[in-house]
Amino acid sequence: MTISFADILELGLPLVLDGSVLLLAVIGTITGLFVGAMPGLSSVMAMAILIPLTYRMSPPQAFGLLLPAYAAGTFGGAIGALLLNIPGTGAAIMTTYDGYPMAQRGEAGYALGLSCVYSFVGGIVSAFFLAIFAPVVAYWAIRMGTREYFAVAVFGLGVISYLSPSLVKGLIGGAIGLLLATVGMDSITGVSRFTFGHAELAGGLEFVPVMIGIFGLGEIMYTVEKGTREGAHLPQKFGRMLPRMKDVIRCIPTTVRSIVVGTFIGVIPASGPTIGAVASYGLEKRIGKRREEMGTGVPEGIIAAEAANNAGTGAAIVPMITLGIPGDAVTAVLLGALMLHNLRPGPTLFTQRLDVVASIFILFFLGNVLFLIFGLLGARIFVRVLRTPQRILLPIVAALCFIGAYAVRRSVFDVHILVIFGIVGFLLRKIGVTPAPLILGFILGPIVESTLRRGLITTQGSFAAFFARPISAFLLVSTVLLLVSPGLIRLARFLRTRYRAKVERQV
Amino acid sequence: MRRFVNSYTVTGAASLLLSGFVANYLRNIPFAPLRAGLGPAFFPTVVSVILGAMGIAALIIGIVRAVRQPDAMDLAPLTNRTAVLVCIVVLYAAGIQLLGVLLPTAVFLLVAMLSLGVNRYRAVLATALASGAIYIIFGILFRIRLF
Repeated sequence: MTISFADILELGLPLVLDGSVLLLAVIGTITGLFVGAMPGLSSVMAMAILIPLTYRMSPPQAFGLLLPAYAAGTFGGAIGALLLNIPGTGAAIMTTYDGYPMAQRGEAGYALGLSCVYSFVGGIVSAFFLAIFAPVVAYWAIRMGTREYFAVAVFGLGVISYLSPSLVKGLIGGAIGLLLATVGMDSITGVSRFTFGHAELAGGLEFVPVMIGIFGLGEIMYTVEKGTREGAHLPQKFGRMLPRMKDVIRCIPTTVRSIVVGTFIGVIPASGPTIGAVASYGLEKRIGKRREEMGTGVPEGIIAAEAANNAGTGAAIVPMITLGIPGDAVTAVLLGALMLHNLRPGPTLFTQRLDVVASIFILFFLGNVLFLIFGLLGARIFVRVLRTPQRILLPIVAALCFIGAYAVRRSVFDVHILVIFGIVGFLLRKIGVTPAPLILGFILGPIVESTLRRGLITTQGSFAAFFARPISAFLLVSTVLLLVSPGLIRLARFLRTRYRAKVERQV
Repeated sequence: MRRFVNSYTVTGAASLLLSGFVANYLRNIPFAPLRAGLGPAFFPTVVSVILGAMGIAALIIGIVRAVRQPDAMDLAPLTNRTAVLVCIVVLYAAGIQLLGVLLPTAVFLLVAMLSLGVNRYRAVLATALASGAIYIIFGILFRIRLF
């Protein structure tokens, strides 16, 4: 399956060049910038709230709203990181290290301009990467059988659990997500599971209220628990925004490295832009020309973080659209949006709805262009967002969560599901279980269960056959190694310490 | 006993409880009506076993931490503000069932803002503006029945 740029333009442009799609793209960009900038509101939350609005839209309209929000939200996180030292999104954590000191030095505008321009550069490269690489992966994915799909899904769950602050808690979150996915009628035998007599649960738990509950309402409760923030005092002077030519030239190696790292890590199922930004900043600190000055407010620090996290956005869409395995929490929500519009992610999407796929590529590109324009022209306005007190904003966002959950099916039952999962999401956050593995488990549950059971039927119940094929064997062994590695490292450290102590005693 | 209450022991105990509940529920569902071990109870059973195992691991980690660092607290008690917010949220959901979306939304916004300490006049103004915007966007633009 090869798709040229001419094919993408021919199939996708007529869908994108529609007044409503372009208007929605602008709305999505502004929403993404607003939510990304605001600490306490995440881009996942923005997507969760926007998805119900897309229910009655055509797929290009829906993705016209969502993809620019994703791209802009990833950059928007830098605004809070630079000006308040509080990243608006997880992907902007590393931006605080150099962005905040630069803003404190009176160069807030320059720091913001650098993040905007280099987020754009990373995002545009990742848009091309998405358009070139996704059809290739889809081509190979068509040849994948149930065992490979099972292995990819398990690998994704393993990676996201491994990346959680606590591996055990990450695995617990993933397992709870997998259990939630089993609610409803079993697809193979038709037996009802965990429905407790509710006819509404026969088709399974509805994705939208569960997602909004955990990422929206639960996060709001958690923010209230931590204590709301008053409107911030922000720098009055902004100064120059566009990067200086000497900085641009000096930072070419940093830019290239960051984009490569961000893209490479972003494309790994379940890793996403945040890890890419962390790895890229770490690499710059180790091998960059100005490694000694990192953390003091140098452009290289901002570029390493921002180019990498936006380079990871398009890359994270690749496994989501080609395999149905999300690259991070936001793409997990995007995957839900695809399913809401009866589009089944995977290689068949490229054969059956190539027009929609082409429009997704173009809309993602457009989203990056739009946030550059709005980011540079409207930076001073979006910065004012940070002055809005959370205690006013959070109840409004909570109300939007309720209306969003209700809007999809006009169902009060979904509102109840929202409340339950809002409280569950809050309690899980409270005990340190991050919601990403849970949502990924919930999304991947049907894939994991059906591929495991169908695979075991074809192999006469032998799990060893899952290791007989190279791709599935590699992924399953990698998952096991990944999950046992922290224990092995700890054991090795313990043995080394004991050995050293023994040697010292003998000396 | 209180020294053993930390985020790991609570997570572990909750996981074990959930795992036990799932195992108990699945007793009435066939485990293997097709071929060896592949019935509708097969997958949830496997997951609940993993959940139980992780629960035990979390309990052990929590107990070890409590013994090694008895003063380390990583689980703060619920604040009053959150408890109030949870109650308001539950009442809001009940209100939607009885009165439709718009009126309970306005009441929820006002009560939630006041409970978070927003000045009375600002809360009324913000509620009126937000409720109006919600009505225009969802009620008129998206034609969702809000009453």
